[in-house]
Amino acid sequence: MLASTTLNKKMTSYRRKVSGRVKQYLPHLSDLVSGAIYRSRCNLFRLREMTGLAPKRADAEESFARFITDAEKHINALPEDYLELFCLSPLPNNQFFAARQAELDMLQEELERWQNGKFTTTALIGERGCGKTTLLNLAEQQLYSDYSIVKIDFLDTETIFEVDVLFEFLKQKLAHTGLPAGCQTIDELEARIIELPEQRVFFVENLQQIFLRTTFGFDALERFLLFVSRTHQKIHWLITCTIYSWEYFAKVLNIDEYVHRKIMLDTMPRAGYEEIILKRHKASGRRLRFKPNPEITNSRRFRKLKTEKERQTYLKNLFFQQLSELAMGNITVAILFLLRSYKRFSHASLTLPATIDFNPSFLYQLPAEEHFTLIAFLQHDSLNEEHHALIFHQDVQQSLLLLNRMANKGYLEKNETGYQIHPFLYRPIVRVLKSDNIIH
Amino acid sequence: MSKFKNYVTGFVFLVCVGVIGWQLLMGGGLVAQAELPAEADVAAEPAPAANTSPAQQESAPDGEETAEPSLQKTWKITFGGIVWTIVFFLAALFIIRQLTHTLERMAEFSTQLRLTIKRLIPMIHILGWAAAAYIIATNAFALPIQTLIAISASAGIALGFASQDILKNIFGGIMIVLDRPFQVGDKVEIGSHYGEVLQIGLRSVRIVTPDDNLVSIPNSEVMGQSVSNANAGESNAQVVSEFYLPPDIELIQAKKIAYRAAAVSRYVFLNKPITVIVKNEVHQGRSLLKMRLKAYVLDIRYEALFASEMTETVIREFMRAGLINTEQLAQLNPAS
Repeated sequence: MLASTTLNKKMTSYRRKVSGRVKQYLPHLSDLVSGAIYRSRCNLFRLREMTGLAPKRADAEESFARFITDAEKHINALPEDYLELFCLSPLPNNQFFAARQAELDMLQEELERWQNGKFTTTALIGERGCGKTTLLNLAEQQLYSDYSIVKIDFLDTETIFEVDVLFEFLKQKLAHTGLPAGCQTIDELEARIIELPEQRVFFVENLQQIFLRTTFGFDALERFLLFVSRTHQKIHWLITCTIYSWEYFAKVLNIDEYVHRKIMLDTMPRAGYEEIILKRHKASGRRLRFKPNPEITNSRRFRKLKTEKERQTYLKNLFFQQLSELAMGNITVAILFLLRSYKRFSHASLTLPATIDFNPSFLYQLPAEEHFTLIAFLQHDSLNEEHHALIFHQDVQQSLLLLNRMANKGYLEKNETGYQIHPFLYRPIVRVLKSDNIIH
Repeated sequence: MSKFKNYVTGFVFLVCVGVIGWQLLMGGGLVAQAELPAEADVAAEPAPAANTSPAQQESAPDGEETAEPSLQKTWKITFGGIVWTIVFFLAALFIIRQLTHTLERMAEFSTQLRLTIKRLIPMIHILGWAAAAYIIATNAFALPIQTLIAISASAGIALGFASQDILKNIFGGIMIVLDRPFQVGDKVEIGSHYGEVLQIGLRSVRIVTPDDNLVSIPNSEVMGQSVSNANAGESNAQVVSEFYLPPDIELIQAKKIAYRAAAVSRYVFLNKPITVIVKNEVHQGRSLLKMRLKAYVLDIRYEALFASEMTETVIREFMRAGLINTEQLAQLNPAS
């Protein structure tokens, strides 16, 4: 009887212990199982992508279209003061200028060279939105304040490829700059500039706008290069151009020989993005927080981090690493992704995810004619349907159909003079065209 | 590049899964269990370990007494052996086909990597089937290696006499894979046939002509004649367009237009040079200038389109610039 009572007590005690342990470990077990399922699903999806067995193009396109549509709403929901800080237009002063000091120093060296009477035509080369105009604005304030500066932006007009049109445009731009007026030809303009007593600095932006990829589309560009070569003693030329146009000109026209220095704005370390973005964010007076997704929360590395500060640093590094991979030197693209990806916003803080959910893999499956159109847009930056038709030897109606189709899907966006590549897709398109052997 | 890394990781992962699966299958004793009924017939022998295949048992250090009856056992064609042969055969067929299909799909995502990935396919076929044959012979039928060699040799002699042409083709196929005068994806000219190599098989090479005809050329024939390879493993290849011009044409402008016609084409590969060469030729007592415009196409698949676009652009621009007119063009045929 005594033995039976003792056994019962022991059994009850064991039962309690076991049920206590189960209650204690059940939530952990549940987390472990749900984490394992989540990881397996992620890995399965990754495996499908790796083996080319990813979801159908239509699904991916749909998800991208949603991303673009949501982007507008998402960004517009931010308060005006915050959007002003992250304005996409070039910076007018050095308040938020960062990560491009080396390039500014190169411009200083070129100026000194020019002051010593040497050939110094300089090209600033980079993608649209990488900060070329900002750099020129800074250079104007810090380096060229003693000189009279003339600014010519070829983006102010449609693509020019005829010498007469180029001359008319230059005449119009030089009209109120104190330079010789009333010239009848570009040769006359050159001769009068060479005779000028004082030296000047010319900022020429978007050189890619004065060519069209047709057999007769190089005349204006060639004439302009001659103009630059002949007047370099009187004018310090600073020319900006997009990188893929410049590479094309280098192969077809040997344009590298017309400039003394090429300043490439195509790369930026991760710290550069961090500096640029955090400088602007600090000015807003809000706290910045990063929120992990379940995959990160379940990872061993994250769970090992003990303090909240360590975790936030880890998440911040993850975010900026991915942002730098998505932007690849393009500051505009980085800012757009930042504004698109925030999770929560209040007057006191901004919450960002640790990873940006963006998958443009459907671009690999686009038809060849769309890939060829995209390279034309990379080289020309902006095109209308008439120019597209001239490049691809087809009628305007065909070009209009194709461009509208691509704009409807969100690959292109309409601007004042035509169409251009959507900034979210700029870098992914470059990657796809490189793998297609179209650009190098 | 990161996509390529993903592909490689995916491929390695698939191979690992395959190997682990195979190890589990073999280590789990599935094959050995299938052989167990045959083992049970040997009443005098001690029972073998469940996860040891008959081939392994034979090599156990029991001396000649145990080796001899085991050898006799292996000559029996058992029901289990036949079933496992069919299973292995179907599994090999499935794995090789899936692997080929996956590689072909992966290859189509990138022009730069297409040829690199596609040239793995014939190698995978040969190695895959050789491995499958070995596994069937040694595990399903538990043939000892000496017996396997003896059977292969006698079967080889018999088959060799019976099917000389087939063997010639098979050895030709192996030589093509090893010697690599061309690979899958290359543009080649074999005899009178020109086209893209679609498959290098054990019997024949299959090429697709520009007119989309599939031509099978026996490997022995391929080995017996000269083969011209247009791109030699690269995705780009030279394309030449020829034009006959009147001798009094404005050559400087004509050469500039021809160069530009190639440079502005959507298909041009600009990492290699564009050249314009002019020669004088006499046809039926008339002197004509022959202009050869040489440029590289970015993907061998656009070869015909690139040649067509260059010709179209050059003639249109010559006429627009007033270098030639329709009448001159009609008279420029060297045969007329």
